[in-house]
Amino acid sequence: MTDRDALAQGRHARVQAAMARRGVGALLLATPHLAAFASGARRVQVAGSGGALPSVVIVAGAPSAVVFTADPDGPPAWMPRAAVEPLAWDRERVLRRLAELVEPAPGKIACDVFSPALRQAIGRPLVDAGPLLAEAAAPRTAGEVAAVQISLRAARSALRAACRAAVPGASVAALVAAFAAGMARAGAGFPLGEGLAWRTGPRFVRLPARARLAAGDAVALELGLYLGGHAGVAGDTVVVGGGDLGAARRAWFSALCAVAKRCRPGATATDLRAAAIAAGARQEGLLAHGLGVGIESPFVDLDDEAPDPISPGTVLVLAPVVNAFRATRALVVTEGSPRWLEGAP
Amino acid sequence: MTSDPLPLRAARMTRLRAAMEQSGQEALVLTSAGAVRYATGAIPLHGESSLEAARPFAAVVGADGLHVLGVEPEFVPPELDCQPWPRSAERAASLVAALVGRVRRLGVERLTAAVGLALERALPGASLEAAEPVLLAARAVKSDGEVALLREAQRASEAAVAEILPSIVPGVREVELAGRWLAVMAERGVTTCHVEPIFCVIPRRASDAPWTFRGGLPYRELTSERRLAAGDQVMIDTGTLHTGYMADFGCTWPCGGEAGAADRTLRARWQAITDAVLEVCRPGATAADLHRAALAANGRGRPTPWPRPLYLAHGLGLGGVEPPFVGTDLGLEVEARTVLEPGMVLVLEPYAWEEGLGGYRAEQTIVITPLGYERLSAPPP
Repeated sequence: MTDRDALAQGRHARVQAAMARRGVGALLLATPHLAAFASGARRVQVAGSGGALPSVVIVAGAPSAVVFTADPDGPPAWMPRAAVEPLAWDRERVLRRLAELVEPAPGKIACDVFSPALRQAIGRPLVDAGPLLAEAAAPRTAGEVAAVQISLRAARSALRAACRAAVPGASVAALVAAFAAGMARAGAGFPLGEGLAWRTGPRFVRLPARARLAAGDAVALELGLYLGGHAGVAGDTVVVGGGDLGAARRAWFSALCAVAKRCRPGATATDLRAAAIAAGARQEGLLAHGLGVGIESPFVDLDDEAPDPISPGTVLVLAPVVNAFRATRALVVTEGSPRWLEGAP
Repeated sequence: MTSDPLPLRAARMTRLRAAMEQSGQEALVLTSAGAVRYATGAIPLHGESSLEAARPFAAVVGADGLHVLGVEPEFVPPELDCQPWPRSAERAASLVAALVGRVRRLGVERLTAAVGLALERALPGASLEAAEPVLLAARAVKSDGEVALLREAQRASEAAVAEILPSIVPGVREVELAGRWLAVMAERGVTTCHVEPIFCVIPRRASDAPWTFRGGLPYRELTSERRLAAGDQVMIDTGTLHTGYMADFGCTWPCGGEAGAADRTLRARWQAITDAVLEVCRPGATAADLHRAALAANGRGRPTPWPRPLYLAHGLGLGGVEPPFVGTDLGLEVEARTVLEPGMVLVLEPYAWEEGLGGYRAEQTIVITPLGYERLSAPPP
């Protein structure tokens, strides 16, 4: 069983180290998954309250984040009780309290969201926390990688159930239901989004939940879940009612291997893109992304430059699309060859 | 083609334009799935924040019309401009700045720091302000069409929970119930669950709770691996979106299905508080009236009958919780200025808890009507 509190402590330490390297005295986070990443507290915000004001404050050198929450069972066991403050709904009160907390912090104040009101309350400029958080995403500890691997396995197994449900006449929602039933068996109680189903072809077309599948339709699926606080995601392409995708899968697999081969320390998104394009992959969503307590940095797109090199300990989900076939496989970047976190197709 | 029908969109746009006019914001940049849908009728892929960060989308409400960014054309009304959202912050900001045009006051919803700072540079003459007050003012009052969708969402949620109740038996884990409930909802065609479903045992004694906020009642809010025992008071609180509109369902169910004497006492107390609040729900009543009615029904000397720092009641619409709030740290003074109007939708969720007896919490959704209120939810099971 994953000790999510211990893993959260490791993430908090990485965030503190990245703050020190960048001369950041205080970090303010409003985006729920980033707040959870850095603080270790589960679901920091109440449903839908995730607005433009931070709910997590991390001061350089502090043993834990300060979180504003309504969940007494959310903060990790190691977080001092004094660091857990009741969630406030009064915007002015929140701004005043945030200003108080960061006032003594020397150096820069970083924030993940744009908030002129916060900047005014604090009376200092706010820098973008994005690069700092991207840096803190790696290296993941062995424990974190193992936790992500458990979630990946659960997602893959539930995805297989969804693929089996892809029979003529079934709705996309029925596939999602089969995935959720798999989640329940695995002990996962929250999905990573509503699930994606595309009719494949020269251009992928996302299908609404009520769309009905017909025999012979080639459908690409991507579904994800949270298990033990870590995200798992799995994608594959199926032919409704059965059909041979062997050749398409082999072409996809060689592109997957070509991209994976480039997933070494120091490689950049540009290198991964070049390998994917040379192997016949085309643009359809992200080519690759990180995975941890959610979908995380880095984001690798086929039509955008991202200069930051990949570091060891980065978990990457690769999702090349070759012709009309899309599937995902995850790996972890190591000092040597990358290590697959899932079995080969 | 999948997007919201024109009459629904037109009614919402009328309210949004009026709220913009009132506030003086000439254009809006919207980034939450609910707000993008409210303003444009486009249906972005909904998910938790990391999924939305990986697949960003936005809408620009400009003087010249509406623009949808980052949503597939099949999910955007055909007459609207629809473009991809560039992954680079600088390019995204330039695109938004070009669509916004020359404005002095621009309302923006949550933007990443990178995009927001770049947008500020790209629009040196404009003041960038929070768009939320304008959105909330527009969304506070629902049209008949919106109320009908909220009612449908509530029905679907209630039916799914009824199907799950027999599974609440000793030995099952809380988290399994959440997964099964998601499956039942999806079987009914509802696949958008953006709020972690809560199936958790209420602490019977203060010492059973993780800990308690000062001055508050012991409670839990997060589903865990815990296995249920006979008689456990299982609090259910789920939020799903049906055609974009949210069903917020809540009840407490005894594990094994048989309510004991303590459960009945607590439920009766919850009912008395709920009835007292409903009694004052009508146009012209204030949030403070609801707050005081709950305290009076709760009786002297008992702690405030809702979990702190949550609320006695909140508004409901296209996302999670929204104003009007009753019972938060905003306080009675603000609540006395919060006046109920026909078309406002409220979820009432008092909590009855007593040391040794445990707790009972359930939710009732109502819409304020010209003469009083109408229930959108059935009484709790």
